[in-house]
Amino acid sequence: MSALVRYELTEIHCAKAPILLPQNEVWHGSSRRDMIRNGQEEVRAALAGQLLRLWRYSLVLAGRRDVAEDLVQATCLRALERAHQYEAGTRLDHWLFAILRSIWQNEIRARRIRQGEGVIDAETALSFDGERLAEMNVLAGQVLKEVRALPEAQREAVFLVYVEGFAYREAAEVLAVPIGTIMSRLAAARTRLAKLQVEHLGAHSSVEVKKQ
Amino acid sequence: MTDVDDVLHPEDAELTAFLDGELSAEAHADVLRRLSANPALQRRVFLLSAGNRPFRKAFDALLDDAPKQRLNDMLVGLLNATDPAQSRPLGRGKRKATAAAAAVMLFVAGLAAGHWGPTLAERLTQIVASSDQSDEDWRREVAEYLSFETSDTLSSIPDDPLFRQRSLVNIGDKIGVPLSSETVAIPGLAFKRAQLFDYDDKLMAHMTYLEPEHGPVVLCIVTKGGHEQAPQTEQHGAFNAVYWTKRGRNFMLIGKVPPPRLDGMVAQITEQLDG
Repeated sequence: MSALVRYELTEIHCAKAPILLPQNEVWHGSSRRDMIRNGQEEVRAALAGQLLRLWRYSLVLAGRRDVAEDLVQATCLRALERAHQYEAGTRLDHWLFAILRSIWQNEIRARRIRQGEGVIDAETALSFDGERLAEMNVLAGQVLKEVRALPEAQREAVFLVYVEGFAYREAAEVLAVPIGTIMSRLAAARTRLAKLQVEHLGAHSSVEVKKQ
Repeated sequence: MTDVDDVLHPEDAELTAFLDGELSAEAHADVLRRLSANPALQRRVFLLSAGNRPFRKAFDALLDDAPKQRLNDMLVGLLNATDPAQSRPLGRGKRKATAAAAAVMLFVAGLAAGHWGPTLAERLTQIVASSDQSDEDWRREVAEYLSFETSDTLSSIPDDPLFRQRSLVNIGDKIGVPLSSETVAIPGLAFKRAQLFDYDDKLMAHMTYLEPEHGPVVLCIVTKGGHEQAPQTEQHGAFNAVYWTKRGRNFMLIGKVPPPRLDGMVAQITEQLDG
């Protein structure tokens, strides 16, 4: 039985603090207010519908379920903090993915490396317990296994484009890289996976197919 | 060189875009023209095609494995902790204050509701509560929590001298340490917030500052008892820490501030608290 029986915060400084309007900020009319309010409302209302995809992306990046959950939580918090920056009616999922990726790349992943935990071991990424894996479709399990063996950059590009259905341009925006980089990473991933496929089929089969 | 290797051919990126339907109509037609007359190019397309998989179907299986309830509970806690009324766009200051409140209240909501798994905040408190077993663990967990603080969030917290003083005196009374704006002031650091965590018979005061160059700095005071101990230094990842025990209180000052300066801050704080 945990010793923890009660938690109480007696003071929250900022919760009661007076709200200060910066002197250099001038609001023109109500349209921008409406836009911001709509954006905030959309973020709050639609966040729940994105949780599972955020978790899956987190798992692809972090490779560990506990870290993935922390990453989703940090993403939701950051999204709520910056909801006023979200433009209502645009792709909320893309906005959230970019936030998640930024937190992973600049904070959590960087911290893990600083603390000597290193980058994710590809062998542990996307792993399941044995029972869960056994319940999965064999082919699906094989695909996950192959993808998890890809280098992180290729794995991420494959996930965004081929799983999440992002256009190259959209994936490039989330990853903050040129479109050409996305193309190269996907080509490299396809080449690696093709090699696995050919090995799987066997040299004889591949030659036969090539002759067709 | 074989057809199947990890070395990209010059055309591979373009051919991949061709297969993915990402080329313009003109570029697509151009690839088709070249393909019709170039067997080597045909082989590359064939090989790149062999790298395709039913990715979406495979990854959809992952969704079934998601901790749906914990994620939903986590979000409910976050949404409840952020007051919609305070989220209205009355101005940047208002928004920033609300965002800062959300950040702090996240910590509170997670603790109070126990809504989601072992978050950093929960682990922090659990470790502090069991700090009889390991003094070092609670300091490490404080450092871990600190790593999630951002200068952006802290800098958005507006200063309110009256409320700051009242908070510190209130918390100081509870932990038996004379906290005030004067006694916890640290030159060069902006005081941002004070929190008090109450668990069984132990209390933890958690005061957060912002140093312009090195980011968040935290002063922790825990009422767990123990022998007097002179200030000692240690490092937690990128954070430098000084910890000491005095009059039955465990103290720690931690941040990315260089150790010599951190030592000076500790000397000043102890003098102010003793005074």
